Amino acid sequence: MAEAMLTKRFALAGIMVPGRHGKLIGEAGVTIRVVGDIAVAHVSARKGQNAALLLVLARMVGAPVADQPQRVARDTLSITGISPGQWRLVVRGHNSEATLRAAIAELQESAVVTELGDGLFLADISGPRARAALAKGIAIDLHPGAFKVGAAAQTSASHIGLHLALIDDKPTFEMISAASTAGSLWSWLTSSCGEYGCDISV
Amino acid sequence: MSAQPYRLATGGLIDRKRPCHFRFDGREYTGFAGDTLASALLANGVSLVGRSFKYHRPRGLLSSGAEEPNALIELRRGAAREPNTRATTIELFDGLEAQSQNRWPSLGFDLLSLNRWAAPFLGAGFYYKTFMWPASFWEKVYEPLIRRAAGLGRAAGADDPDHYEKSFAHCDILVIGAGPAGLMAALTAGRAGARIILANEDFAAGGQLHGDGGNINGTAAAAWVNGVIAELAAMPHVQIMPRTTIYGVYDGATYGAVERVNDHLLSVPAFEPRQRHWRIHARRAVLASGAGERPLMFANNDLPGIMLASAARTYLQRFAVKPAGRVVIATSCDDGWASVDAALAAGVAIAAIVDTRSEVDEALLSLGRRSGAAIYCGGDVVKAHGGHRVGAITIRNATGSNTRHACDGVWMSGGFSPLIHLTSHLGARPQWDEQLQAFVPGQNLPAGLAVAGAACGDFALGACIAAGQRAGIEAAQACGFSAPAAEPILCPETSAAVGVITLPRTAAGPVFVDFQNDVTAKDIALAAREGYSSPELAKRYTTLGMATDQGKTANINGMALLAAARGKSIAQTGTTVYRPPYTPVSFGALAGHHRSKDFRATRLTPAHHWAQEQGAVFMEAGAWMRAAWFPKAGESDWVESVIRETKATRSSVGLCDVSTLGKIDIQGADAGVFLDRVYCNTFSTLAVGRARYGLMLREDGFVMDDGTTSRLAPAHFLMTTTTSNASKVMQHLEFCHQALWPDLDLHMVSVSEHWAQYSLAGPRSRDVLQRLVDRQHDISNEAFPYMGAREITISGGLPARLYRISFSGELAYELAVPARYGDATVRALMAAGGEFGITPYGLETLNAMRIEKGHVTGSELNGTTTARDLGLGRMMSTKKHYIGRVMEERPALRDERRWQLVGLKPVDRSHRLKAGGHLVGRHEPAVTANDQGYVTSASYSPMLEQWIGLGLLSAGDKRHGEIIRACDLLRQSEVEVEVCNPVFFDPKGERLHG
Repeated sequence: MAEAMLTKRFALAGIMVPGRHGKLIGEAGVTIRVVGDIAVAHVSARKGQNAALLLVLARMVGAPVADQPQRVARDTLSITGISPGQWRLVVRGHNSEATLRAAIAELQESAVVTELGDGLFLADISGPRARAALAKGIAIDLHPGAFKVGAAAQTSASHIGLHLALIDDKPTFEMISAASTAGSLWSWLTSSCGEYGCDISV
Repeated sequence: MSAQPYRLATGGLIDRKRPCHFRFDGREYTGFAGDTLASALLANGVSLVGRSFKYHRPRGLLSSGAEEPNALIELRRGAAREPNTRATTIELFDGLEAQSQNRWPSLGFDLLSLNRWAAPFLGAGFYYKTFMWPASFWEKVYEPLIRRAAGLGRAAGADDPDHYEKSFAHCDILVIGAGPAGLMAALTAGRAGARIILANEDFAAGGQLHGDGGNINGTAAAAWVNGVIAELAAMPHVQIMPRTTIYGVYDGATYGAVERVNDHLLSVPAFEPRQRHWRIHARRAVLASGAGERPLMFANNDLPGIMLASAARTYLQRFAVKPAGRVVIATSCDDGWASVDAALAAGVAIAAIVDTRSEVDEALLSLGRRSGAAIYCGGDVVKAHGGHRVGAITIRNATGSNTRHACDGVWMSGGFSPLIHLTSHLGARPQWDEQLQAFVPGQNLPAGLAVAGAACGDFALGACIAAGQRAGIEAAQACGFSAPAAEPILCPETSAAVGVITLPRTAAGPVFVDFQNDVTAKDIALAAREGYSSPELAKRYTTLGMATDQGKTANINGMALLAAARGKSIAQTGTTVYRPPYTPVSFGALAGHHRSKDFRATRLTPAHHWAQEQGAVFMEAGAWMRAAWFPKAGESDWVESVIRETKATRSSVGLCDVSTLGKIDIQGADAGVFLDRVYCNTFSTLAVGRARYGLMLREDGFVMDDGTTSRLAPAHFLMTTTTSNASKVMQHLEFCHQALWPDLDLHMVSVSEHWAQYSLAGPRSRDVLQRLVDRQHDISNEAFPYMGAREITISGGLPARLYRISFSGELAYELAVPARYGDATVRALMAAGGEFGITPYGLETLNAMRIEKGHVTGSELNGTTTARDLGLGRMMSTKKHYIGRVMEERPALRDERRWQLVGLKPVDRSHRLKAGGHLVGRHEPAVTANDQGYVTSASYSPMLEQWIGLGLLSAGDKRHGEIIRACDLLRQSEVEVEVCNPVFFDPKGERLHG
C-alpha cells in the first residue's frame, strides 16, 4: 500500500519562471498564462452517432457545436473540433478532472472517449503583439480577417505540432501541445516574445 | 580625423546633425546618418575599397546599390565579423568597423597583385588545364594554394553572437521595391483596401528618384515619396518593410525575404534579432525592382574612379558626395547625359563627353556644349590610365583618332537592363527585346506575379509610375477589391535609358566584363573558341555571373560578347536563367532560432529531471533524450556502469524509464478484427486482462515493427510500438483504417504522451511493486501471471496500468501512470525499492540484457528482415489474412540462404565484438564477394563476462557452432567468432516466471 499520495509535476516545472521577460520597458506586448490544471479528453463519435454526439456537446456548452475546426466554450469547458467526427474537450481549473469525468459520463453512448490531459501543455497567449510573436513559428495566417474568434487549427511551430484556437479578439490564443516537447516549444515562444516584452503567469 | 573633403555643402538625404564615426582598415573617418559606408568613404576621399578576386587589381566603387561587384568588405569584428558585405548597401552607423579583404599586407600595397602580371596565363580554364597531374596533389597542394591565393573575405570562425529569427507573413499583394512604380502600385492597391506588404531592399524609399530628382504632380520627387510613404503608413492593412530583400520566389506563391532588422546598429538591442527571415505568402505580387545600369567595355575599365553614371548621380544628389573633381562621361544612351547637369550643379568639371552613338539629340548636345566639355559622338573610350585611381582616359573619335583627357573619374552608362531575376526563379526564361536592347521578363512568370515599371522596360519616369498604378489596380482587382480608375500622373518624361551595347574595338589592355570574378572580354572569346559557347557553359567555364553579385552588372555584356564570338545575335544565343537568392542570404537568417540546443526539438520524459538528478548520461533516440547509463563514483566508462546495473537487476531489481514507447489506444467493436489484419499473429482471441507480443509486417512482407498489445476491455486495446516507429505505426494504422477498411467500427488515438511508463525488472520487482499498488489489486504470481495486463490504482487511488511483460528476460513489470505523476511515481518506486537495492538502468544496460536474451530491436527490425529471418516465422498465422502475408510468401523471402538471426561470441573471450563488422568465412578474405552478413548489435555481457552480439548471417540458423570472422574494415578490427543460438542467457525462460 502506498505511503503517501503522489503529486503532479507539470511539463514546464523547472523551466517556466513567472514574471516579466524579454524587453522590460513599457507595457508587455505579449502575455502568456500557462494553465497547469487541465483535464483533456479526445472524443470520437461512435459509428452513426455523429448527430447525436453534436447535440450532447451543444448541451454541454450551451451553444451549437459543429463538425468543424472551431472552438466553443462555456465557463471552464471548451470543445474544439480537431478532425472530422473528433473533438477535444478541455476543462480548466481545480475541479477539472471531476468536471471532465462528468462530461465523459454523458458522452458514453455516442462517443469513444480517451483521456489525454497528462500529456499536454496549455497556454493562453494574448496581447497586442501576440500575433506577431506567434507568426515567428506558425505558418497559418493569423490576421483577424482570416483566423477569427472561435477558429481552431492544427499547425506547428519550431517543428513542434500544436493546436491553436482564437478565444477572443484581445486577441487571446489557446495553444495546446505535447508535454514532452514543452521545453523546446517554450524556448521558441519566449524567444519570439522577447522583443515585445512578455508577462508570464500561471 | 578627416573632414569629409568630398562632401557637398548642402543637399542630400543625410542628417548632418548626426555624425557617425567609423573605421575602415584601421583609419578613423566620419560620415552622417543616412550615408552608406560607400558614400561615407567617398566623402572622405577613399576611392580604393577592395582588390579583385583573381588578379588583385585595385578596385573602387562601381555602383551605389546591391549590384556592387567590387566593394566587398568585412563588417564588424571578432565573432560578429561578416565577410563579403557590399559597402554600397551597408547603412552607416556610429562605431562601424570595416576592413577590406583579399589583400596582403594592405589594400594599398597588395603583394598578390603580382598575379596581374601573370594574367596572360591565368585566363578562363587555367586551373582546369594546369593542375591536372599528379592527382595526389589535388587536395593536398593545389587546392590549398589556390584557395589561399584567391577567395573573398574570412568567416568569423566563432559562434555568431547575435540572434536571428524567422517569421511567416500573408498578404493580398506583395510589392517588391519602393521606387516610383512600387510606391504607386502599393498606394493604389492600398487605397482599394488590399492587405499589402511593401518590401524595399534600401533603407530609404524612392529608388532612383533620389539620384535623378524630378517633379511629380507638381511636387519635388523626394516630397512625393515622403507623401506616399506617410499615406501608406497610415493604412492599418499596409505593412512597410524597409531593409528587406525579397531574394527568391518559390512554389505556392511563396516569397523568401530577409529583413535586416538591426544591421544598421552598432549592437543589436537586447531580445531583438539582427536579421529576420520571412516566408511571405502573397496572393498577388508586383515586381517593381527597377533596372540596373550597364558598364561600358574598354581597357582598364575597372580602375577606381570609374563608376556607373546613375551611381555617380546618386552619390551627388542622395548623399551629397562628389565622387570626382573632373570627369569624363561615357555613354551609349540618352540617360548618361543626365549626369551633365548633376555634375555641373555640384561643381564637377566635365572634361569630355563621349557617346558611342553617331546621332545624338540636339538638346543633349546643346547641354553638353554648355558644360564646356569636349564632345565625341560616334566615338568610344579606348583605355583608362592610372594606378590606384583613374588619371586619364583615351578617347577615339568617329574618325579614328585618339585624344587623351586627364580626369579623376569616368561616369559610364551602357544603357539599362531591367532587374528581372525573380521572374526566372521558377524557370521562366528572360526574352530579348531588340527595341529596349535588354532582356525583359519572359513567358510563364510565377503564378500571381506581375512586373511593373523599369523592371518591365518602362524606363521613363511617367511611364514607370503609370505602370505601377496599373499593376496596383490589376492586383487589387484580382484579389476581389474594387480599385479606382487610374489617375493621371503629371511628371515630365525623363531621358530614356535604352542603351546600345558597344563591344570593345581594340585590345589596349584588359577589358573587364565581370568585375567580381575578373572575367575579361578575352575570357569570353576563349570560352567560345574552346566550345563552351552556350551561356550556361560559358558561365561555368569563365565564372561569369557567379558569386555574390550574380552578374548583375556583368551578364548582359558577357552575353553580347558571346553572341558576337559565335556570329549570332543576343536573341539567338539567349542568357542564363537566374536562380535564388537574388542577393546573398546569411546562414544565420536561414537557421533562425534553430541553433545550438534549439537546433531541433527534444522530447523529455516525465522522469527526465529525476534522471538528471541521478547523474544520468543521456543519449538521443530520435527526438527523445533517454538515459543511457547512470554512472557511479569510481566507474571509468559505460561498460562498468552496465555491469553494475545488469547484475543488480538480474540479482534483485532494476528500474528503467520506458515512457518513450509508442502507445496507441484502440477502441471499437472491430478493434480485434483490425488488429488481426495489421499484425501477422492473432489478437481477436486475446483474453481481457492479457497482453501479447505482436509482429507487424509491411505490405512487402518485411517486418515493420513489434511490441505488445494488451486487451483492457472487450472493445478496448492498448498497443505499444517501438520508440523509433511510434509515429510511423500510428500513421500506418490511420491509413489502414481510413483507406483500406473505413467501414470498421474503430477509434484510435495516440496516448504516448499521456502515460509515463517504468519497467521494473528482476526477482524482487514484485516486492517493490507491492509497496505501491493499492491493496485491492492482487499482483501475486498466481493472480497476475506472465503476460497479464490490468488497470489498477497505486498510492491510494491513482489510476495506473500494470503489464507483466519483460524485455530483459527477468520477472518484470511495466507500470504506466498518467504522465504528470511520472516524476512522483519513479521517486516512489525508488523509495519502495530501497531495501532491495533497486538500481536505475539506462539504454545500454537494456541493450546488454536484451542481447543476452536474443531479443530484437531496431538494429534487427531494420526494414530488410522478415519474420523468418528473425526466428519469428512461427508467429505468422496461416489461418487469417493480414498485411504482408502474400508478399512474404515470395520464394526469395523464404530462401534458406537469406541472412538469419544468430548469436555471435568471440572465440577468444578477451576480444571485443563491434556492431557493424561484416561476417566472412574463417579463412576467406574480407572482400565484398565473401560477405555473408554482419553484426547488428554487440555489447559486453555482464552475465557471460565477455562481449557477445547478434548478427544476420546467411543460412545462419543452420550454422550454430561454426567459427567465422567479424571484420570491421572501417575501424580496422577483426575477430573470430562462434555462431550460436541468439539466446545466450536463461534459454528456457525460467526467470520470466519469477
